[in-house]
Amino acid sequence: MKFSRVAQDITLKKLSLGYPGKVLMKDLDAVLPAGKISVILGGSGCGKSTLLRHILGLNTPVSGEIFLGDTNLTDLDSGEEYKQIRTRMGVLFQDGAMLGSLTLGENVALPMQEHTELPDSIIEEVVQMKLRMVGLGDFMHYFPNQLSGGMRKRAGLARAMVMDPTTLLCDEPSSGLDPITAADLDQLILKLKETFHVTTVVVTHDLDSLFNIADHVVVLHNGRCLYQGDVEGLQQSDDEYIIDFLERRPTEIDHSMERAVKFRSRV
Amino acid sequence: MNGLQVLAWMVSRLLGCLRLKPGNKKSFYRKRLLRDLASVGADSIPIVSVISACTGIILALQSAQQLEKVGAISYVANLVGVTIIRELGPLLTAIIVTGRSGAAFTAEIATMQISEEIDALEVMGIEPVRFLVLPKLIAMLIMVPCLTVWADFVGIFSGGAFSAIALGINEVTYFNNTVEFLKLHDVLAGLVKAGGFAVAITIIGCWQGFLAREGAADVGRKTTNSVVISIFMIILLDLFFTALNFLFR
Repeated sequence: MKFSRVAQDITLKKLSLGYPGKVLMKDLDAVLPAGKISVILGGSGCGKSTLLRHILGLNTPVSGEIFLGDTNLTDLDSGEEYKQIRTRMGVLFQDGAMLGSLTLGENVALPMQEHTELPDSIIEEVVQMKLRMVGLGDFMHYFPNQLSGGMRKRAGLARAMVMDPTTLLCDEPSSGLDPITAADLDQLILKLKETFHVTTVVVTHDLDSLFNIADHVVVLHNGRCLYQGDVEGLQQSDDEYIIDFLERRPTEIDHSMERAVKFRSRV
Repeated sequence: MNGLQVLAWMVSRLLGCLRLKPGNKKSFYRKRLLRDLASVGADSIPIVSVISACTGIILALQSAQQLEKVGAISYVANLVGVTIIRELGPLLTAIIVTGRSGAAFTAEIATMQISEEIDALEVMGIEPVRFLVLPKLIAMLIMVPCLTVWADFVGIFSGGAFSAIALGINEVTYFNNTVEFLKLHDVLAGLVKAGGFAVAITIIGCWQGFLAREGAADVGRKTTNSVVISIFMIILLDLFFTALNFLFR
């Protein structure tokens, strides 16, 4: 089977997902448009990263389907087909997930060495180019533990882009970073989308990132999709949770605190 | 996946690696193999040497005390040689390698598991078992028998040197007795044991690493499990191989 080299929509159809004994999300329908940045927004533990793992095929959905263009990803059970489609998907994990025993150059070269028959000299040139693209051209021979968190994530982006994917998936790219580094990373994601026209999915709960990069937003809460559409529509939403989220208004902790105070007064 | 499912998954993928075309050369697999060969083999030589030398001397001392009573002190050579080649050489080497390399395999894979590095390999379309386990298995299959031969040599040599210096046994008689009494079959039986131990240590070490789930504490737990299970399996395999050797002697 040949897979397209053009950016495609990711479509979630009646998708239910979770872990054995726990359904995190039920009957999720969403379209993440081609060539745009879709931000999946939601509180901690709402299943955003789990959704990303399902799109990547690391987890199997309880029910429902995930399409990349016309290809049903949930039907691809053979290793070879999935291998092919994975070369079209770049992934930036939450902490970069760079292999600690390899240098940045070796990390970025890994997918090319595995999936192409290119000579080492060409691979090295491509790797150098990709590292320069993320501003790490001088760090090719450094090990991941010699770099800051932000640099590791940029290196993760270089590795994600090394096979020129049509889809880029980022799991909480700004988590654990200072606001300036996070904004730099947002700009980099934006630049990658504009330059390479990749379908980008960013899982985050960072509102600054949302307003910096999102073309399309999907809001998840309590196992369902509260909103999908553009950022302007999100800001005009009258849903109570979305208003609380956008205004950074604490909810559950407030109630817990009230309960704790009541309990304390009784003691 | 539960523990046994992970083990079955790992072994089936490892067997799948056997179907790879031999021409499918990847420089990074060679690099990983060389790194594992060095860490399993070369880096273990000092500790294997010291422990084997001590064991050779201890055996010479213990046997001399008993054999002296029946006037057969020259048989120290036979006892040291047979015990080391057939039993203690492979066994002690395997236990040292379990503590050094088996534990390191578990800690490495477990850390990669909790820091999403294994997931990163999967999504890059790189088979984690082929990338992580296969080079370790090949390195262990080459290096554990080599270390065993080295441990045998050091143990017999140190036992001989000690017997010559402290017990007054003629060194030529000692080595003649050793060579005369030992058979190639004994050496091969020790090497077969070493190969079996190498497979067990690698499979158990890597399996426990893939089982890690719950953060840093789990890395420690799985590493402990790996060492304990490996030593238990080594003793069971030793019993099995020794019984087999006895039946087909």
